[in-house]
Amino acid sequence: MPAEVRQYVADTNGGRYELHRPIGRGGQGAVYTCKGNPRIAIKLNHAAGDGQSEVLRQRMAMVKRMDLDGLPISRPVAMLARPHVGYVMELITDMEPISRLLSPPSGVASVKEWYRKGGGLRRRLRVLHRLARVLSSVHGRGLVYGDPSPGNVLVSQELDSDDVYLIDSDNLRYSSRPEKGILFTPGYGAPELVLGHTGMNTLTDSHAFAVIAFQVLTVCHPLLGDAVLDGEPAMEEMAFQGRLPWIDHPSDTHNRCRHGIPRGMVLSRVLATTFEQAFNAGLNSPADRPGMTSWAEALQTASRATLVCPSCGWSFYFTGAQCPDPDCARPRPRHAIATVGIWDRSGSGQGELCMGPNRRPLIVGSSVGSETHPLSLTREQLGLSDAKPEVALVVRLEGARIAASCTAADCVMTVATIPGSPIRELTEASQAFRLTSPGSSLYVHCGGIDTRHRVVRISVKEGAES
Amino acid sequence: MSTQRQDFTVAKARPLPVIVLADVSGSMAVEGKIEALNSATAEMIASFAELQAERIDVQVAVITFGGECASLHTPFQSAAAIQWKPMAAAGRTPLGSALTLANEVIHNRERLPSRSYRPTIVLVSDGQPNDAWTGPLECFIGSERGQKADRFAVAIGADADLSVLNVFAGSNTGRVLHAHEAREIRKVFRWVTMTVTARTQSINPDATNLNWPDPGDLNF
Ligand SMILES: [Zn+2]
Repeated sequence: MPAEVRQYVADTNGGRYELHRPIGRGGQGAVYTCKGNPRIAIKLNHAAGDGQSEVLRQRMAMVKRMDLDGLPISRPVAMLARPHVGYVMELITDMEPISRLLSPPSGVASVKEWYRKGGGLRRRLRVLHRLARVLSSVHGRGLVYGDPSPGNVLVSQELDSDDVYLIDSDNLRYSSRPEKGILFTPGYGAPELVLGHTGMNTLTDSHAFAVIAFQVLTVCHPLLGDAVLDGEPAMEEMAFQGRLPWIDHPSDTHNRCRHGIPRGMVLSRVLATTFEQAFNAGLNSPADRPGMTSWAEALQTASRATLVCPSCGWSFYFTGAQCPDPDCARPRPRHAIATVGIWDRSGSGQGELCMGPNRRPLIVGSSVGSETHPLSLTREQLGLSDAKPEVALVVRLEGARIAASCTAADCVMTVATIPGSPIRELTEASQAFRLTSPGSSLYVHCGGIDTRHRVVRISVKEGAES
Repeated sequence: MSTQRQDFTVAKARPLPVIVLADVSGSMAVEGKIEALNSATAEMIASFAELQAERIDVQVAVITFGGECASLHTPFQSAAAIQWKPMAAAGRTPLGSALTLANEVIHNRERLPSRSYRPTIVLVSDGQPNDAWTGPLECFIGSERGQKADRFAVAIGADADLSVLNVFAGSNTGRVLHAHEAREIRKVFRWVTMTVTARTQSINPDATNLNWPDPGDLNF
């Protein structure tokens, strides 16, 4: 039985809090939940002293002035009173650290089951996409988050939610005012931070994000191969300094890793390339690292290309012929692929699908769905005004038919079997359509034929079993 | 049909060993000392269990010395797996026996492979050792892992043998900490917990140049 440990802190406004459980530990301290108040958390720094306290007070004043509106980032509320150094921050309930998704608890019976229970590949991609979007917005506002780490990033406890929430915001900085000073969580600091060459910047944020993303998807650290894991502790420091090849280096095999999920199961081609860019060329050359916008796009495209196995629930890319879990191996289910192109009226003639440089329709994006998991497209995907991530078009497979419904009140969507010749208007109620012949497609116009708009082509791919 | 379940493996966390050498001689039974030591040790183990350092596995062993010879009260285990059983105090102060046992325990390569971090060792005593201890002490602090360890000695009360504890702690990373009365034991153990926690969060947990704050400066 652990001993009963009660620890109280007070803030400078006279509020008194009892520390509950540590959520995560960062470079300088730990963040605790607060007993009896789920809407706040307490950051307690290890080092006490008036100097530390003053530095923190100035930082918090700076963070309070930053424009974080609309971003899921916890704001500081109050400083802790002496003798403690730390602060009280906002917290939202029912969130847990992303660390739960990147390493299984010790002694877990099955890593595969643990991965599946955390929402599998599809949810991991969605959560990482959201995180990439948030960091990309932070960077877009001229800010640096500073210390992305598995303890600072919270995710929803609900598996069907991909919400993220960042805590420990006292590390936020203006990118225009670079500061030296080593502050990072071991394992997540970019080599130039570990070596003390620079302070935090958007590219050190990108490195930390790439490490978290690789761990969440593959359950191994990109720099810790067998040579490091089985070697003396000093090898770890070398790895974090960027002096060893990354574990999936295309030619240098000195630091291969025998652990984790096979990359082919969880990384799309684009994601594999993006990781290679981040940890090979970009490891010691920050300017070569993919930025947060590239990560957000790669992750979103990947998450939209996943199917869920109807037998075991494992999610995988629709390009695979069967469920990649060797214990299941069920053939890929029948599924719908939606590709979004741009419709434009050219000259005096009829409208047409815009062609890309390779004489193929210009594809803006795509999504897949199956009989068990309907396909949904957001306002953003369909290019509707205000581009919110709200669902605007839902497509279900119903036996031999395709059922579609429009959930965007401000958009008239029409269905066509030949692009440009709409046959029916879509409503909020689901309507079923039969494809004219096997291999043909259904088109949904998200705007009048005379206007420039996006058009969705829906095709059905039979399952691999038939 | 496949009957063989296939699964993936994950990297094992690297062990960071913490060994407590606890004096459980008869004198510890008075003034609430053994009770304080029990709860301080349990609290330290509970803190390690909550660490969530994904790459580091803090493992704890407790060696008690009382009666006629030392015994392995808690064998090396991950802090989270330990079911703490309180120690009882009685008998003599066989420090030599405890150091000999500790030497065996920290050099057991099956339990602590070479990939382990260097140990933190805490010796707690309130009195004079009364077996042959000089040989085992020299042997222990000169041993491969003993000399690399962070060695902290906790002197409880005024009767603790400081000359012995000073030799144990040495002059490098070691330190002698004083608990003048039973209730200060907890504070000292929290300080030790903090040094281990700081190592788990450092870029190189085996570095010896970490600057610990002074135990007196620490706020809990
Ligand atoms: Zn399956």
